[in-house]
Amino acid sequence: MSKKKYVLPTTMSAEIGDTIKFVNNNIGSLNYNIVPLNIIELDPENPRDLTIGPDDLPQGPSQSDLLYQKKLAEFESLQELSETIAKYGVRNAIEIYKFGDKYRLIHGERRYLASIIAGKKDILAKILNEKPNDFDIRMLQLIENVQREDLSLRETLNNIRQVVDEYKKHVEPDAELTVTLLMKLINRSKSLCSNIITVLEASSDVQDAINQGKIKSLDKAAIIASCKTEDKRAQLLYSCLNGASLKQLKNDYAQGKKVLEIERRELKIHKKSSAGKPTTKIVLGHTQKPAIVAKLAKLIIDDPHYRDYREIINTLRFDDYRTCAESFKKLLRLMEQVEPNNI
Amino acid sequence: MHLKPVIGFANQKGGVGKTTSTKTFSEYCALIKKKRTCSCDFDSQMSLTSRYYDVLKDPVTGYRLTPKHPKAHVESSIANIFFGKLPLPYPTKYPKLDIFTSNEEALLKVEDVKKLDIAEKVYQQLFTFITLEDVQKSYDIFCIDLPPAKNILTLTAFKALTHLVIPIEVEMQSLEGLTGLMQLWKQEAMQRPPEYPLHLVGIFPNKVHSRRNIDDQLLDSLRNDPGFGDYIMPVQLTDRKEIPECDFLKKSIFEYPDSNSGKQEALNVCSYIYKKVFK
Repeated sequence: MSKKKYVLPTTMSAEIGDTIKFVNNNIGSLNYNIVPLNIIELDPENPRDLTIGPDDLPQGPSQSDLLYQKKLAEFESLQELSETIAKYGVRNAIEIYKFGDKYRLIHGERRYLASIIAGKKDILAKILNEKPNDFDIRMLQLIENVQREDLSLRETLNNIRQVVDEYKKHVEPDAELTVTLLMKLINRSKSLCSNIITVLEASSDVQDAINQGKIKSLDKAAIIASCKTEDKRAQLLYSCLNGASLKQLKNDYAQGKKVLEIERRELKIHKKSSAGKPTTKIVLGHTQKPAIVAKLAKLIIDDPHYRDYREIINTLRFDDYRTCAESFKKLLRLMEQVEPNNI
Repeated sequence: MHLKPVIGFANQKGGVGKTTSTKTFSEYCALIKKKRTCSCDFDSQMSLTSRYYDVLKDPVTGYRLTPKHPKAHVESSIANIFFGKLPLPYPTKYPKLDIFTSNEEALLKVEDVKKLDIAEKVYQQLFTFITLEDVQKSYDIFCIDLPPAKNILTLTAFKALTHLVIPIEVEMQSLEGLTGLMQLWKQEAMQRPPEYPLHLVGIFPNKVHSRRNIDDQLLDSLRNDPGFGDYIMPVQLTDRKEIPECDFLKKSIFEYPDSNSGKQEALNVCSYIYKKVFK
């Protein structure tokens, strides 16, 4: 039988076959639509801290509002985004899920609010078929938020805390927050995750500075938080709050580490430490001459402190190794009782 | 509301038989299956329109002109849906078959839309129109002739489809167009909610030269492909004189006597697609 000359190239065959397989496995996974803004509502469990809501828009917050100042600042920030949206539209779809006869926002709160300010009536949205569980929502929000630069460090850290909490709640209750786990959860680099953990576990002075918005950079916070001594940490914190650059902080930190290393080395010279368990008792050595032990016993009998115990000591035998060892043990126990504690 | 099937005939390459397939299947539904059928010309080249009505050109602009509606005596085309007007269905000589004609100038304007937020709205227009209650009540099935390009009109038509048929010629250029279209299908199918899927009915070999070695071997290789062989339809249309004859005489292949082998082939192909759609 002659070989067939005309067959479909393998690359083309693979491409078409893979496409069909991919579609069959992922139908409905990218359900996007244009959704009227008036049927979308905010998720009350949204971890972001915006106080401004759709009711304050599009004209901005009322002056009689108790949170007027905060809302006004947020409104002004949203106005910048709304100008871009008015000009170019929303480039990335927000994500929503069906909730009763409305849709609830999973992420894209700023795009949603800015679209209202821009006077838009609808918005491009990815629609999930059902309400994702809390963990999935947090994950979606975090994945969205970690890519944003307009969130404060405090907001980013809060999101991460919540994701870790959700992970523990739903997946692994006893999980320890490690760099590996965080990398898995938020899919970011090892160094970034390491910095995040350092800052999450930072002492209260560093945490306070972050919460008050005084430290805005994760890198700076991580350097300060990784400082072990309180004095040095306070010094770095002071430098940071007074406008020290990341490079300056790194230099200060490296300098501090150097000094600490020198101090540690000096301390080592004075205190020769040995490996293993700490020493808690004295070993008196050993001898092959029972006469030496008998001599020691004799010296103690002659000590005026042991006058009352001479009879007991005289009963001790030092004839061979075994009796000698047992007698010496008894003698030591006696001495431990007789001798004052402060020796 | 249960939506009526919307079958699209698409390929990014021209000349593979999209219009012929749309026309043949629409006529099968109307003439053989007695379904109230709506055929829709979504291609600015107006090929499908010209199969039923004479299409003239504007002597000044050179654009093909939409024929006047035989009863309303006005021009109306499917492009109306993009400009806030409802299109009029044009009757054909077959009582159960209507056609929404094309309008070259208007559709070319739509193809020019570049702004993303406007484009997003354009995409929805055909779906919105077809799902209007009156439109749904008027027809049992919709057949759409898509343009040979991956443009905004193609994407708009894809949004409205429930079923996709990809006619191909058994030659390399056409198959390269197939891979591009498969990507489009992938993109759309993945965006669909589960209750409104986009089915790939199959890849339909058209204009096959049955005695040509290259066609036989290539078709054989397609049908036996482990990845997508199942999607290559087991039926085909061979390159016959009846097809251009039908176009020339403005008649249907189903008007030929049953003994005509071209009609039998068309019946086989349409019956296969019909069963897949109304399974």
